[in-house]
Amino acid sequence: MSHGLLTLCVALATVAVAAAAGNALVLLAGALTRRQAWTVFGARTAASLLVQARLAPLTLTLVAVPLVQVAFWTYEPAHKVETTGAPLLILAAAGAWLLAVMAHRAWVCVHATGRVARVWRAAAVPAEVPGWDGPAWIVESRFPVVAVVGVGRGELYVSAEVVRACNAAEIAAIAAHERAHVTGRDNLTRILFALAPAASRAAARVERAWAATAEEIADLHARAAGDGVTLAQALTKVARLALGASAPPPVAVSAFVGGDDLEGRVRRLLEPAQPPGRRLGGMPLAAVVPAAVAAAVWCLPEIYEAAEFVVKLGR
Amino acid sequence: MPAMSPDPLDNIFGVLEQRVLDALWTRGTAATVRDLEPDFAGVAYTTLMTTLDRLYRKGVLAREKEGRRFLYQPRLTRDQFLATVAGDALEAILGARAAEYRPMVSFLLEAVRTEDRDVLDSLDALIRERRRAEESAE
Repeated sequence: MSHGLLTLCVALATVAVAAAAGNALVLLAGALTRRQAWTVFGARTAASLLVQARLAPLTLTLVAVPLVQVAFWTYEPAHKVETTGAPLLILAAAGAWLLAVMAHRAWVCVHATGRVARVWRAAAVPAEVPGWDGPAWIVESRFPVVAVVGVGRGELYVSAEVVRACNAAEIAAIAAHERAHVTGRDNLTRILFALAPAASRAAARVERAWAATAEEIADLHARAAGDGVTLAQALTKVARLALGASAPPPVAVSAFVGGDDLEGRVRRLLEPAQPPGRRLGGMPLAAVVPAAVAAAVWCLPEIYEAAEFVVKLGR
Repeated sequence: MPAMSPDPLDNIFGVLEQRVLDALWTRGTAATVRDLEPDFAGVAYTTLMTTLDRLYRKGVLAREKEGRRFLYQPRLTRDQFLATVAGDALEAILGARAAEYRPMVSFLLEAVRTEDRDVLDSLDALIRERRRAEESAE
């Protein structure tokens, strides 16, 4: 096998191994989610940890591939023709398949978002919504849609029924809640979730837990911008409209917010305001990743040895 | 952002699917593949049959067996269908793989169970109580 082809196979195999290692973290996070372990943290910290756990396959891949490649380019003699064993080829095939899946999922996510927005907009009228400075649309819908679509500024879609049911203060509270999703880049997180390959059940559990904390954080923002009681009232009004509506689209069920969650959100909004808590945000990543990368660079010869071990395995 | 389509159906159905639906809505009665064939010059019988079957499987058409043939008709009128499009857009677009491929959409509230009505009553009572407390404090 030529040096170029071997380098490509090693890169693809690294994708497979890193994604598998990241999946172990996702499985662990999924198990912790089942035990409601995240409730010991504040919403912001929990959201941050959940995102980092769910994105572990992607993060590890993005860190591992360049490292292994640098090690390989540094220590592998150029123009060396080498034979490889089946394990490397199998891992490389798995890595290629994973990359294809990631690309497909990202494309479908972006494409679906565009189509949802186009379908809604085709039956919508532009509107001025108090507290919302981006594009806003009022749509006719059986389900009381209140949603932000897309990344960047985001587009707000509110069903006509919701506009009729809520007063101006409640609409402003809803807009503040949705604005928080935009500033929190929650939709960007969703596309990253789509990109990061993971065991579906554990990943779905982690994503549901994150979605609940993201709603809680958005509620906290809306409360800080106005008052919790108004948002609580808006939530129960929208929920009542949802009671009479037909079943929501299945996509919504994946981040189900009803029953206990709705009750928890409303009760939290009625309680005395609590400080939102420190955002752990990228702090662990900011601290851990550079240290890990520095350590890994120091260990480049060992990384190369490990890559070579896989190359020669089964030869 | 791609150009906005003037017809929301363009975003859900393929060209032939939409033509078939339009033909059925125009007729206003149930029709077999043979009944529709004259309106679809250049379209093979089997293609038309497959399209009707696909629309039936998507839940847009109802069908009934009459002898050896199927009679197809839309479950909803065009207006009724368009009224549901916004709410069901995600389902229509993503179909069975919706849970796997979520679009970049943040919802205020995504689903409420019917049995939550009692919960909502108690929450509304709490909100009223809180409002009263705030007003009396002022």
